[in-house]
Amino acid sequence: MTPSTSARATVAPTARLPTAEPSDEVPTGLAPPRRRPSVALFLLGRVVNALWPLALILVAWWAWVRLGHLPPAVAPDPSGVLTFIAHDPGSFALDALRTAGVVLGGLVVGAVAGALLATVSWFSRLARAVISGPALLSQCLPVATISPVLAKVFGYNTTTIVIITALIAFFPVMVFTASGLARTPAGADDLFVVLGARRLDRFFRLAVPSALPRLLVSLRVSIVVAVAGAMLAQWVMGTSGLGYRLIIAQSSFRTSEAWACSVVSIVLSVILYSIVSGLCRLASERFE
Amino acid sequence: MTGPALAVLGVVLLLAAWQAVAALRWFGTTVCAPTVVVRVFADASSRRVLLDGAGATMLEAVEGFGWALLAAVVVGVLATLLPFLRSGLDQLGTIESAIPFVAIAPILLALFSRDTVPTAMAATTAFFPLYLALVSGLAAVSPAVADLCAALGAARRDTLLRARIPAALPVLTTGMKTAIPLAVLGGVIGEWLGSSNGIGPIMLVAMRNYRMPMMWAAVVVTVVIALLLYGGCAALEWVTARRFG
Repeated sequence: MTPSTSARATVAPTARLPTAEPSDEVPTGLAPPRRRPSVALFLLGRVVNALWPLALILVAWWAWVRLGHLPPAVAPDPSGVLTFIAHDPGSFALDALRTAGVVLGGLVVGAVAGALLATVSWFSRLARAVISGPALLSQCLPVATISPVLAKVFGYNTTTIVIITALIAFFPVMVFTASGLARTPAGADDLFVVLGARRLDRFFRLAVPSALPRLLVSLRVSIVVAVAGAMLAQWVMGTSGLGYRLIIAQSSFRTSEAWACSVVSIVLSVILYSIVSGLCRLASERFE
Repeated sequence: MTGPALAVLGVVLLLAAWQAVAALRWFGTTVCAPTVVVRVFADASSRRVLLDGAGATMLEAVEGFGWALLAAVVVGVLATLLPFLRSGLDQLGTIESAIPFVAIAPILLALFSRDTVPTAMAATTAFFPLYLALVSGLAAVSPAVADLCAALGAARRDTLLRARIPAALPVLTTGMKTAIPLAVLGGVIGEWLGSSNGIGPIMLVAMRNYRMPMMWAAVVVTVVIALLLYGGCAALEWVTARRFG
């Protein structure tokens, strides 16, 4: 593949060293002054490095459809799907917004509930021990598998989808926040006690700052599953949003539309994930 | 009271809350009490149906998990041996993991038959945590060991085989613990796409026909499947942590 070879070309001058060592990984101070790769080449390498996965996906998809001579009813090619989206971008944007709104609402509810329960378990040893059983249970049970049941119990509406998303987000947030609250720097707890800090001060000035990065990491873990769970719930229950549109398109054999929904939801998921991981990086720079 | 006893108490409290919610009819007749669910399992014919479904789902999840593990090993070793591919492969993996379950449905339906879709779906959902664990595990070899290998002139292949892979195993088994619930999830969702066997269709059919006890029994079976597979992975983690940790 050409992108990889060009990426290697920019790396090559640093890798080879004229020493007798059989391994080329040992850094020595004796290397001759190496030529700096030009800025343009460096930038090209970065761009290639960032874009080859996407290009690979598109080329593989295109080749699969074209070389397999698949009819559009089975699998449309990338250009077909993109023109379908370009044909009616407004409705896709609206559906994506609906899904995103449900996901963010559920995420906030779930994160608040999870953080609250983690706080309770920080203050009470008994609560911590009692919660640990159901917490373990929830850790190995994927909530989305029981979304039909939740739909039956809470009704076929948007509130249920928010509840499902909240449940998905709730458990990782609780587990990560509880471990973050407990993971204060060594000795800091003793110092606070010696200096006569009250329990509440210890919580807000010591435990919370150390838990915050963990909480964001847990959001990064749950955001993708939350999007997937919300889509799945819309798909199972048929209310509104991308998941609903997908099942309708699928069941009426409008394959291009179904694939377009898939592509839009993947883009939405990647965007939300990037936002949360960006926040994560900011928080870990600030608090760690 | 000791920790485990309190944890069990927590689960008991959960069951009690479930029983109370059912008895108080907060959600009408949609919530069946645990005692009603037990009666479903007591009935021989419905027990047969549920156990058959559980077996099928478990097989799909484990099979898909196996494929995902194989793919993760191939791609992970590739990313470790050819470092210039690493960032691109990571990115591919992130995109793969960000695909919502139902969004991949049209693709899988075009690629596989309806009865193999659950396995394929389980493999897709379980892949990324396994890949992530493997790559970070292969990088987790301690600097001292890496230096020693380099100083003794070990070939890249030998370093991989004798230093990196043993260091990766504990991390990989931890990754397996996070990936196995996703494999179960993938299996069940794959079944909803039109497969006829497994616990997923049982749950869906019970939901549509308003057979609430059956539906809740299916939920219990799903929990037990997830617990069993998770427990297996946790045991494996414990063993590798003792041997290689």
